[in-house]
Amino acid sequence: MADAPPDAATRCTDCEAIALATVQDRRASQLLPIPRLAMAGFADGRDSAALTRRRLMQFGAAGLASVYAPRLLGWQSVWESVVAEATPMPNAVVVLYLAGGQDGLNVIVPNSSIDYPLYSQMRPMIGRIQGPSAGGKVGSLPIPTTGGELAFASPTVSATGGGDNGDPSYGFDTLYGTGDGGPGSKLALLPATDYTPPNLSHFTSQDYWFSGALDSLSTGWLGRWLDLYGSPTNPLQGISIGYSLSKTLLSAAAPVCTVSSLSSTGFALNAGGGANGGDSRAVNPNTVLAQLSTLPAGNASLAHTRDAYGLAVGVQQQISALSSSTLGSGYPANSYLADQLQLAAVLLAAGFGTRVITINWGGFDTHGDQIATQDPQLVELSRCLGAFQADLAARGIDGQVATLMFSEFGRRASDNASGGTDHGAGGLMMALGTNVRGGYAAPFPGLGTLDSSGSVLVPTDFRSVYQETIASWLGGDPTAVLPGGPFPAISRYDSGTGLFDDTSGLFT
Amino acid sequence: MAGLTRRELIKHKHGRSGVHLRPPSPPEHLHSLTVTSSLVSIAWRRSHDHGPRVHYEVLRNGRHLAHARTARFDDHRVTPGTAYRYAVRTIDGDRHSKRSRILFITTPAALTAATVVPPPPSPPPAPPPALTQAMVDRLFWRAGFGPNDAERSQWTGQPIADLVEFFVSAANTLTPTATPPSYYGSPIDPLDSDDELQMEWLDTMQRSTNPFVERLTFFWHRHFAVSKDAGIDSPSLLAYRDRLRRYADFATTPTASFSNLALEMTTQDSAMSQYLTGFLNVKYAPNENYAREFMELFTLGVTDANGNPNYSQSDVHNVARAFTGYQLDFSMTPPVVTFTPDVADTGVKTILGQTSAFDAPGAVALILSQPSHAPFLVTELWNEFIAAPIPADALASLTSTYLQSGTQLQPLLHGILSHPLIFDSLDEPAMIKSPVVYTVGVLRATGAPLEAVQTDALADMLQQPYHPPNVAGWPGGLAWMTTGTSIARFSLIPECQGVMAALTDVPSETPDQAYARAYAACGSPWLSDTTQAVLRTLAASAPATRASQRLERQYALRSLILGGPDGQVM
Repeated sequence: MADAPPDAATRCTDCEAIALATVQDRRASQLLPIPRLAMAGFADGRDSAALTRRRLMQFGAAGLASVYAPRLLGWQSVWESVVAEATPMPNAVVVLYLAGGQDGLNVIVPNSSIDYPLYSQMRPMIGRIQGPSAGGKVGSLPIPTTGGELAFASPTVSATGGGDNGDPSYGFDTLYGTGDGGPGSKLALLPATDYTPPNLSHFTSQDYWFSGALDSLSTGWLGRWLDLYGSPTNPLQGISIGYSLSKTLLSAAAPVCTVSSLSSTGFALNAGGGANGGDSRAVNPNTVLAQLSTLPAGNASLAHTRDAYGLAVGVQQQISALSSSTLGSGYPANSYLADQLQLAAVLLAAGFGTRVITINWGGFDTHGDQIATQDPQLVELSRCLGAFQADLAARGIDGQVATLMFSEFGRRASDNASGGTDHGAGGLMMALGTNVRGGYAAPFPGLGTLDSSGSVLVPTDFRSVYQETIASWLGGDPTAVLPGGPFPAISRYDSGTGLFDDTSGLFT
Repeated sequence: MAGLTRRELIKHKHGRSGVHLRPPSPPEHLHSLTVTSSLVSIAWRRSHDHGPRVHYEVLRNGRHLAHARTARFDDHRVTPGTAYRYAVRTIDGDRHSKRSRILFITTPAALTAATVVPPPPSPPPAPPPALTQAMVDRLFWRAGFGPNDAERSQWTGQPIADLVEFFVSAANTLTPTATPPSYYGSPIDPLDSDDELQMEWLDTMQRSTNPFVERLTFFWHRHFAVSKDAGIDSPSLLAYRDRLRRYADFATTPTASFSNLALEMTTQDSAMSQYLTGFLNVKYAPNENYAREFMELFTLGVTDANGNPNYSQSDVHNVARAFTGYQLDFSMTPPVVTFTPDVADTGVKTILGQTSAFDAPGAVALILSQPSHAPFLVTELWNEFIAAPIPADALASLTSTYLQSGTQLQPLLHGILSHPLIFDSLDEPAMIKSPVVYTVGVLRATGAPLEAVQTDALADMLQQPYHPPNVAGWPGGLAWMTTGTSIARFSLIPECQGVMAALTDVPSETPDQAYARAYAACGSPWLSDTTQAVLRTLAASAPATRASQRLERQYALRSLILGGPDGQVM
């Protein structure tokens, strides 16, 4: 078989797209200026991969949130409600979605005396070796307090931990600590967490995870939570970072938003005067476009278009001066994920009453050449999560933030001789936070018995994790949010229960 | 054409592609227009099987009478009081249809001088519906990138059918330009950079005399989506684009069929093989990536009209097996898809309820024979060109046309562009222009030179050629318009103005004259009456005592006319 050229992607790139996971048919109803917040730290530039000002400007206008709400909100009431909710900071959850179906088995590696030989046989091309990386093979380092069952893949482990992620201080190992659920143990591992029977379509499976049901619902699970327990007037309670609304946040009534970015000049004529412009004080296109945007239209396309122009102009009339806010340090450079997490930290610390933030990151549909494509992302992921945790701590809000990480399905136990893996079931979930009870939090069923598609069995339903998050972290009745419940409690390896340490921050 | 024998007419039963070509369909609705003792005038509905060489053969009493270029014939060689049987056949190149149904006509007896009563004249045939300028504009936006004044004068007043036929059968040529595209001062080379690769296609769109060829090619790019973001080499992308174009350029390939396009994508296309990892799909390790998207996105959809799944996971797996063996020879530029029997799974497979040793062509044919396929594709194509949802009768009729022609594309596209709903809401357009259509439209209307500013603007509008966000293409529709993309669309106009020659001041220009000059310079596009009123008021109220102010007024009016909300719909 011919070798792939060095730069040919060997993965299903539809999963790169944030757009897959987002809401296409609902439009923002208004723009909300965000005071005391500036995105001044983002670079200007043309790199389509980086979250630059230019790119953020694509979807919003200056320092604004694009608000999705069933009715227009009065600005005063919004800010009043934001201020009312600002202190003390309620518990918030950051939902990090890895798009494509991450191969959890190569992140948290089966390490028992029974499973490791099976793993090694099933993955002749991409299997990790036990111990530090050597001889061109990627290593794996045993995870404490798992009875030897699990090991971290070396690209997720810090340099001080003997791993390959190149960071002296941050990695899954430093976040996990001893895994005893105590204060130094902030990372909970939930392997083989998914639903049955598995559905191996990206689009369908994502929809289930976002809907919080084995069905495509018209709302997301956290949208429904906000409908019941959120604010009727604060769109910053639920924020999708990136350029469009995640289905996770799609609500029936609660306002939510997508965060956009820096100052823009809105609509401008050819600036710079001179030969190809004119006297730029003579005509203000924003004024004219505001008029044009209010003209009644008889069809949805024209109406929507006029509204979009009108909303964009709204920025110019409502924005107030933004003050700077510095971004956290210690993140890897040139990292799209880092950019999103930095922004999340700033937003959470700004005191807007934010309860949910969603972040999407693609690239995990590794049908071929998996080592070359997934491992650099694991390096980036482990370093970013470490830096994010430190960023929150520096801002004094680490006790109120929990991060859930998941993918829409796992991948098969055997590699596929293209150096990759195919869609499977039973992927890896993780939870991260100072008040997350770290450790080995869901059973790994082993490789001895696989399902009919060659994937691990699925002892833990993802809705059990959602249920626990609602009951013990955000607050509320999970059965009112998740259809088909109640679901079995999460079953930990240690003697503890649940995923969270501290319930004092419950929203009431 | 006269003098061709029947043998010569049916000489080439099999076309060059080796595929048995279906004959054209016979004309329908054969009827008489005028019958007198010395003249029989007949007419018929034109065949849907259109090619540049289509004409008709008129038969009388079972024998060849004459050939006709148009759908009408005057037979002067009749005698009074005689019964005649007329029939017509469609001839396309060297293939002919069965004859139409027979029209029986008896000419009246000649009258003696004493009783001559001129027969009442038959009412003249209703003139075929003629295009108004608004209809010309509509068709050029939906099937092209907007009209220019030459096209408006050429087509206004002409029959609708003629313009539709032009789009689906005229060869495309490129109008020469005095300002060829340039990339930071140099001529473009599509293999040199991503921007230049995009500009090459945008340039073709801008200068096309038959823009429908490029519109349909771009539709196929949306449908069989691949993205350069995956690292596909540019030569493969150009070959992919040129392949798609063969299924849009009906002047060159009038019998182009979706079956062949789907098969080529599966077994011949390097870009698609790279994008959906078909080249990794081998007998010992079937890779289901392409098989799944082939059914889910390219041919069937997830569920049928009743919500039942169109295929199962097992079908995906077995289709993948049937598709094995097509590897890429990366030593060539572009890489060449090469069938390697060693790695092809030749075993028996059960796909969609059928069991056989399916290979790729067999699996493709089986999938396309599913009842879900035709309505799925027809609806997708309809939605590209027509804003209103497809009515049930149109879906049935177009599906039937598509299937009866053997999945040919020209009759289907002809049917879609001919449907009256394409003119729906003519006074208030109801479809948002995609960024590419909008941008090329601005280029055509303003004559602006093509430079990197337009590809940058397209990035901000969320649509760059060769960069769909995922294998499902671009969702389109209302999703095109957000607060950010509205700013990007408006900003395109000052950007284009910045690379064009400066406007000249007309010191004595009145506000109305200023508006008229700006409007004409923008190609006199559709604007709602209310928008025009606002802009005329602007023209009247903008300061105009200094040259710089008058220039500003011109630049502003042009930006608002082309880049405002009304300029975004077609």
